[in-house]
Amino acid sequence: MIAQRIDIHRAHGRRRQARAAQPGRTFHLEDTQKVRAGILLVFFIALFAVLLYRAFDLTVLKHDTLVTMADRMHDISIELTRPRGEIVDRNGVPLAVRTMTDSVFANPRELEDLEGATALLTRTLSLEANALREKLANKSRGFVWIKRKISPAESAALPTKMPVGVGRVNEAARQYPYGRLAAALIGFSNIDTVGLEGLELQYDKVLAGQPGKMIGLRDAHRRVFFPDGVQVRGFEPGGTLKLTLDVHLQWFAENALDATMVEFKPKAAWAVVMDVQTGQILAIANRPTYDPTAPGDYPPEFRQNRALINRYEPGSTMKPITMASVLQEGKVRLDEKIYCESGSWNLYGTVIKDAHAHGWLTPAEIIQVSSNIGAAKLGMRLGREKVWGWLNRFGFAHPTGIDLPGEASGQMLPWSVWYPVAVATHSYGHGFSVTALQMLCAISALGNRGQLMKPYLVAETLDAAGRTLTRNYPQIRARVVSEYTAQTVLDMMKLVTQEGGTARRAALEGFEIAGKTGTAYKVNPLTHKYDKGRLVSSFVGLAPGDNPQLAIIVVVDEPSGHAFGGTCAAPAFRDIAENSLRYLGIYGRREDNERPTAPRPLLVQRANPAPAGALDVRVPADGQTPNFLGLTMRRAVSLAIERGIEIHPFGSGVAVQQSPPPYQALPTDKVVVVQFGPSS
Amino acid sequence: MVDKTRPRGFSFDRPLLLLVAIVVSLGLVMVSSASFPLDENPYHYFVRQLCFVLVGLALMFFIGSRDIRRFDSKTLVYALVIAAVILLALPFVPHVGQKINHARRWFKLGPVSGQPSELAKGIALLFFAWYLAHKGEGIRAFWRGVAPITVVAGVFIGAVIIEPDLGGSTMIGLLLMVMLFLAGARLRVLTLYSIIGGAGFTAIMLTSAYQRIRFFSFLHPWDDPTGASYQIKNSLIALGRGGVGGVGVGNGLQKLFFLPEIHTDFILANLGEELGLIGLWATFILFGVLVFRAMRLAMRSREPFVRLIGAGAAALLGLQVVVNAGVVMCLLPTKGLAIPFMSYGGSSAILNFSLIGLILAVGRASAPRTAPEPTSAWSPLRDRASGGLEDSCSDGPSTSISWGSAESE
Repeated sequence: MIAQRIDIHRAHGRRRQARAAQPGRTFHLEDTQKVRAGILLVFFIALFAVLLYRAFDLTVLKHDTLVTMADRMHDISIELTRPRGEIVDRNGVPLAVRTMTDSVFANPRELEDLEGATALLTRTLSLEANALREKLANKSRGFVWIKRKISPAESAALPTKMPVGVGRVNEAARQYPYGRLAAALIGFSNIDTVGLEGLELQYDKVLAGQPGKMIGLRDAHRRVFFPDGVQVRGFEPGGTLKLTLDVHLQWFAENALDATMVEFKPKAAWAVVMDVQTGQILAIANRPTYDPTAPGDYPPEFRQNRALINRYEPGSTMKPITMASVLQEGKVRLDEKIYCESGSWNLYGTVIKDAHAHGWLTPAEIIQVSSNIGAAKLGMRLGREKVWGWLNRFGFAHPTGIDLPGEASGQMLPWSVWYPVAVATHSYGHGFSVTALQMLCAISALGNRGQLMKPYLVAETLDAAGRTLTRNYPQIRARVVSEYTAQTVLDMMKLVTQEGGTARRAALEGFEIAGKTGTAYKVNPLTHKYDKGRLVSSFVGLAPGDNPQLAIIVVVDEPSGHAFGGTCAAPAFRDIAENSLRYLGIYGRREDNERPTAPRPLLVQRANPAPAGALDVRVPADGQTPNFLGLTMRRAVSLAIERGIEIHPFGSGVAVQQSPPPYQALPTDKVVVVQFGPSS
Repeated sequence: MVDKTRPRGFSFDRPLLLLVAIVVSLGLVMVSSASFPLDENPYHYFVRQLCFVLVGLALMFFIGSRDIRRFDSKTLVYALVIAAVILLALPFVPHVGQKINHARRWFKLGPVSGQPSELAKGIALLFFAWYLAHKGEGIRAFWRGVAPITVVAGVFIGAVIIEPDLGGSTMIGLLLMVMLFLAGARLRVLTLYSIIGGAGFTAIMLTSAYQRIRFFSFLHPWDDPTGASYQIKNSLIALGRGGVGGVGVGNGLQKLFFLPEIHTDFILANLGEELGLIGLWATFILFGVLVFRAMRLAMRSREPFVRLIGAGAAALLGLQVVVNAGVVMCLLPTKGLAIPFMSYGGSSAILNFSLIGLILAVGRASAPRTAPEPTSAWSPLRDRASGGLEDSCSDGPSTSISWGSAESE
């Protein structure tokens, strides 16, 4: 302290001496220093101002750009499956539904206990241990799926607290409650639930929805982590597709085709049921078919919607069209008789034959007995240009415009290059090809006062909240013939199923059926000539005959045993028509239809009857789960809809297990998981 | 020596201490946030930084409670300059020096390790203040005034530059310029020095490959985002992510190994990311006020040494902030300089707390002490020689007698 004081005194002394020696000048230096300190401060203020501005520039002005760059570095987004919306029939019965399943993933870099995790996942997910261990041990990957869309049983087997580095996420899966029903029509989607065929493809935009994304972060070492747990963002369920299809009619059509397949063992068979008045498609059945949950297991042709895609020579089913054209042109009188050359007519060196020899036939008889020569002679009255023109008016050689992908338009050469005999062959349905849908539409026009309708399959598209996005209405493509002409030809077609007609097997007790058989030889692709051994047999008809409601076409491709349309297609037509008319409550005669409608008959399941004894008849109280056990998936879904609950079906067969069990309190989300399996 | 008349209580400058307390707290929060992913033990760096801060605070109060004029000692200054030269040589001694990131900036002697260039800055400051205070008017002469101090500064700069620590040497060079400017050196000398310094800086930048890469990555940070400019690019991204309010303390993502040295030289980037523009502006304003306050405390004094050491310390703090922030915000090429009180690091903490200690001592020395119940009779006396009298009255019993007598009246 003393030393300090001395020091101070010394300093004092020095300053005093300095001041004394140079009076005034010390103060000058001090002033200079103070001014310069001020300048320095101003300089610092300027520098800090630059810093403040730069901070503003980076954090605010360049914020968006830099955040984008940052997000690109930090964020990792793992896209989950698309929550596809439902496809339902005209009554709301779901044909394709969304279910939620768990998927298991891992972050190999975060994994602590490789062996433990491998053991757990092998045990619970029935995976192959070595492949799994290899996957988990690969530290170069930040994120890896272990198994997607695991079963509820596997989900339940997994521990709630997953080992570090392993996680699970809930994602959408696709289920088809009716299995193969309408499979070719609905199509299917892939593992990422992207629509690949059929309606799933055509309406992918409506159905797909926004896939959920697992938003994770990753550090500079590419480690993925989920700081707030696994969160799925951006999940927006897809919209609903409401079809004009009726699941019951679809079922009748497929059942009928199954019987045809068994009886006639054809290469393929297909059928379409359409509402005559509106053009709404009620059923499109295809055989053989495939399982939409495993489309890869089937050859591509099994997945085809043949009613739209397969072209065939229509044969005699074309005769009513020829007849309508000739009548409309006024080139034939109804009481006229046409000579049918006793069954064999050499025209320009080509011999046209009838199945049975006939002499003179009225136009109605030509349709009834299906005389090729008669039809040819009628067609020739029009000339090739008009025959061609009329076929086009009825919609042949043009796509019908149905809202399904891949529709074929058929093949028809322009009239100018026709051989002379082509006028005759086109008149009885040879020398050009059509699709079943084209033929059905053309015949429907005769049952719809001459109006050609545009067929359609989707009644409405709805968003996830149930609001209508688009709605389809019946659309008249053309009025092709007069109502009188249409009615006249329709009356002729009724004769076909009556005594003396070619399709007695299509007759239905209590109903009049207007229809036409068709049988054509197929062209052998090797010889380019008609192959007498290979037929396409078909039947197209309208029911009931005096007030057509349903138009049904059945096409059988290469039936065995040389079965003509009246033999193999007509019975299938009758099966479909009978079931459908009963189901819809339509009576044979007009006056019958005006009676109060009887209760709608229940769907009779012939193919896969549920074990009647096993069914539980107790009615669950409100707020209780119904008993699904023992029910088929169809019945379970119907019951669920009736009870206003959601069902998540798994497997196939009959319900063997459900969660929660029957007659328990209904969960708040009203979801019941039902496991289907082979009935015991 | 109980002296009733000695001014009681707290003689440190409260505003300065408050500013330091805020900045240090903010710094601790940032170090803790930025460093937790870096080590197995998430508190590793935080705890160490806390120790550095506590040591620094002790040092600050120790220096702050000294009489600043005790540093105006030839013996002390010479001893420290020699010590500095020895310390600066340590990184080159085998087994003691440590090479980190291409540079020999570290020494390690048993449990003690440090960056001598940090301490060299403080010692250079003391030497400059001492020399210039004694030169007085003589600084206006070149050969007898400016040249000797330039030689000593040159030794410091040279010793730091060969580590290489361009940032440290630049800092000492800038400090020399500021001190010469404050002391009243002729402006043409300063202009000449600026040109020489700028040329030298550029020459080193362009001749050393290491520095050249850093320099060009500063000019074009987005050209080569994974290579040389990786660090500066990630610094800008961190700042940009912050926006106005930041992503919240602890929520920054650039610390996840994207931005190297985020807990040391680039702590400001973490602050910008987590506290946003508000945090950055608050930090700059706090430092700005701190420099301003320190400068004012220094300029209150009429003693050249007190003024110069105070203003020099203030300038050294301010320069570190400006240069570090400039680097972090890509206004200056990357140098490897810490920001005071925020960057993790012991040597930096020791230097900067010492600087605050010096400023506190300067504040105490320059405080215009209002005597208890001063009478108008004392005013002329204080006006004439305020500094000397006031300080002596607070420090020694000899002067307290006179004050005591005045008070007893």
